[in-house]
Amino acid sequence: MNFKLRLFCIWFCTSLLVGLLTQPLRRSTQTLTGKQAEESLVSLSVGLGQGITLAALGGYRNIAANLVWVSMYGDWRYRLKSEVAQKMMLAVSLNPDSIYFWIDGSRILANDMPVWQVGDELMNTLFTTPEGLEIRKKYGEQALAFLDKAPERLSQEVPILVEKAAISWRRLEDFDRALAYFKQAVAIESVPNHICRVYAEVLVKNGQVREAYEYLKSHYATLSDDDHTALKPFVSKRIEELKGKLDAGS
Amino acid sequence: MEKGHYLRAVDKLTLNIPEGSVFGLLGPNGSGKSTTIRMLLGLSEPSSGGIQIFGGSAKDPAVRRRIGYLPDAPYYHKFLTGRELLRFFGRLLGIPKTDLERQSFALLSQFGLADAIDRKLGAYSKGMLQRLGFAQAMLGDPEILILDEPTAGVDPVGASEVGVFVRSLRERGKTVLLCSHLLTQVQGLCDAVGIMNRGRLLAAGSIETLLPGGGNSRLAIDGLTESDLNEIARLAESKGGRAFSIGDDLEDIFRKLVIADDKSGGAP
Amino acid sequence: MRLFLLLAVSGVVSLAGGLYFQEFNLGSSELRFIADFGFGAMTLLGSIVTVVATVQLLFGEIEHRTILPILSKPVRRGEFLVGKLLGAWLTICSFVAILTVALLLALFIREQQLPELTDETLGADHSVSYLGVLVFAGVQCFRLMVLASITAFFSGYASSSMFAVFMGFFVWVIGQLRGSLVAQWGEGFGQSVLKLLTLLIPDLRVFDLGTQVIEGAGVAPISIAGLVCYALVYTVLYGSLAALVLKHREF
Repeated sequence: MNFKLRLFCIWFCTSLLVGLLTQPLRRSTQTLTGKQAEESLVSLSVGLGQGITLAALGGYRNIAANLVWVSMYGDWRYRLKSEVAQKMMLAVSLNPDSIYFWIDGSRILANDMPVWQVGDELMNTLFTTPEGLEIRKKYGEQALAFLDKAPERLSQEVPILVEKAAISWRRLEDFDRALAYFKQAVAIESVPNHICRVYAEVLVKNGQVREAYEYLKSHYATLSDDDHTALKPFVSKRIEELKGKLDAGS
Repeated sequence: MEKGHYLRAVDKLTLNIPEGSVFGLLGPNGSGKSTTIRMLLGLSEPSSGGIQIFGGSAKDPAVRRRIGYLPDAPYYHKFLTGRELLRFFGRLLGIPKTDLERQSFALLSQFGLADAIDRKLGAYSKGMLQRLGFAQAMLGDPEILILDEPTAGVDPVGASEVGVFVRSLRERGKTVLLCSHLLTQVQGLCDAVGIMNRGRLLAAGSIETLLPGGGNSRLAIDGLTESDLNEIARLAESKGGRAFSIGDDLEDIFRKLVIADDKSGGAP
Repeated sequence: MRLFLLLAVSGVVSLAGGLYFQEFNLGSSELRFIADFGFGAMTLLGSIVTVVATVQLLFGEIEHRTILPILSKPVRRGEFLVGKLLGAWLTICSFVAILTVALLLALFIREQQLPELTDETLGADHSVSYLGVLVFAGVQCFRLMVLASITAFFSGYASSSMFAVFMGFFVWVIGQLRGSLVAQWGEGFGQSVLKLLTLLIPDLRVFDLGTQVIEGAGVAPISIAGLVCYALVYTVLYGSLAALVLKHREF
């Protein structure tokens, strides 16, 4: 066997062996690098030119993601739905750690796209006709599906949970789902106080006055006097109101 | 000995170079001289057969430590100074630091480079680079010197200096293998020569055994014009002899052998 | 050397770009944005420096025949290769070190200035882990060491510097896109074959720590040790293959 052939065989066998043996090592390191969605090379080069591919390759992934997002807004101006959706996905693939991309993207899907579909003049039909309602819900579901793709550690953060709750509440009018997301959000220690108050109001809107009352009471107990965002007198007053409502009901 | 895919650069070469002698390897370009030298240094490998130096293989670093090599062109890093180059090669040879500094300065002075010791090699002339090559080859006081085209690109004065240097090596008991195109010089320097063409050794032996006629019938003539010389040549031929320049003896043999070999198509 | 300086300057300029092109910053904290530029320069320009420097150091010696007087001295070819690889790695580490110092300086200066700024960046996380930057830089040195040994393998085999440079960049691209290739361009049996084939090339993406390291999160020493092991295994593999190729090379 000549040397070139021998070398190829040695390279092939040893590389394969090392590749197999290092598989566990490679997988263990992926927790460090983060679970990043695989980008589509085709859409990268077709949509944005080779410069972006090179940038993404070379480590300027987050910068490339920002440029993709800026370019997405170019399409947004012309209401190009599929291009906008494609570029949003590309940007979050390149930089899945940006909460801004997830929130802004979900809002475009849930709020802008239904209007683009029916047109500005018929915007009201989204809330008045069955067809409009269907369109609104379709995009609301898409927005939730988009947010579901966020990395696990982000999807458990308050802004994403609140955004999911807001979409479920305002776009899908699905109070149960909205409350489930709010419940997860308010369980997080760092949740802003106003989210807790909104949660209580949504509970009331959903007819769960007792739950709202109980929750606000427990929330009030955690509030400190120094925190100006706590609005303790306001919360206290609301607790009284809910108590009155409950008393009147019984 | 070396077998490539398309060309056998060196074929069935057998050379014995006695210790303490100066051996000249002659041949036209592409005859396999440099390949032979690279095999001697372990830079190329014979496809069959073997090479022994001091009874060992050239692949053994301990053997190479005893060999000094002057390449056919100055293949040195241009960004180094003369002193740095010798320091670099000295470290490769494992020479202790203080000894190395002393040896480097002595060698650079011996080869007339004391003034250029801290100058970058990029600013050296061709002759200076060749002398620096000798200095690096002499580092570590090797027992064998392999000089590939030591006079290539050197002016006549430099070439005669090379001759003086090689003679001094012989006097110090070193074994020298050299390749050169200056055949007249080789004739005066070498104890023995080998003539190569197309990778094969055409002739080898001492100068005396290679030159025909021994020397009794030779006549030196001086002070005649070109036409007088031609007349003498014609007269010599008419008497069954021939007239030729003594200085070209070895060159003549060399040329004859190579031309005859080329005509025969290189058949062994 | 000139190229090294050029790229080092480009890296620092790119970093300065991070400071002044904040309009492209969408949502992430300013310090993270600056870090993105620094990390990008380290990996992209670092890879270029690695391939070019390794080819220059190893194949350059063969091409200019300066290897002849070196190997005629008592130096084994393996020793020569190890020396060259260490030289290439030293160059790479110096390059990464220059950019790391520049990045740390940029982050430090900006961090000092931030409290004086208006509230526009409020809400974004201003804290930055300098240790995270050092970890990222250290891991890049190991990534580039793998790339250097692969380039050395091709340099030992090459008959032109273009070939060695091209192959170095080719493996870099394949190594970076290994996962994507399987995900995008294969299905069923084809994907299985492709998966098997991608095992032949080291996965360079595993060294992309992402910007979370700058927040000081997820830097588990055990994972870093895993990455270093991964890099060392491939460096030894390709270093050995390069030594084998060089051993059989005729000069």
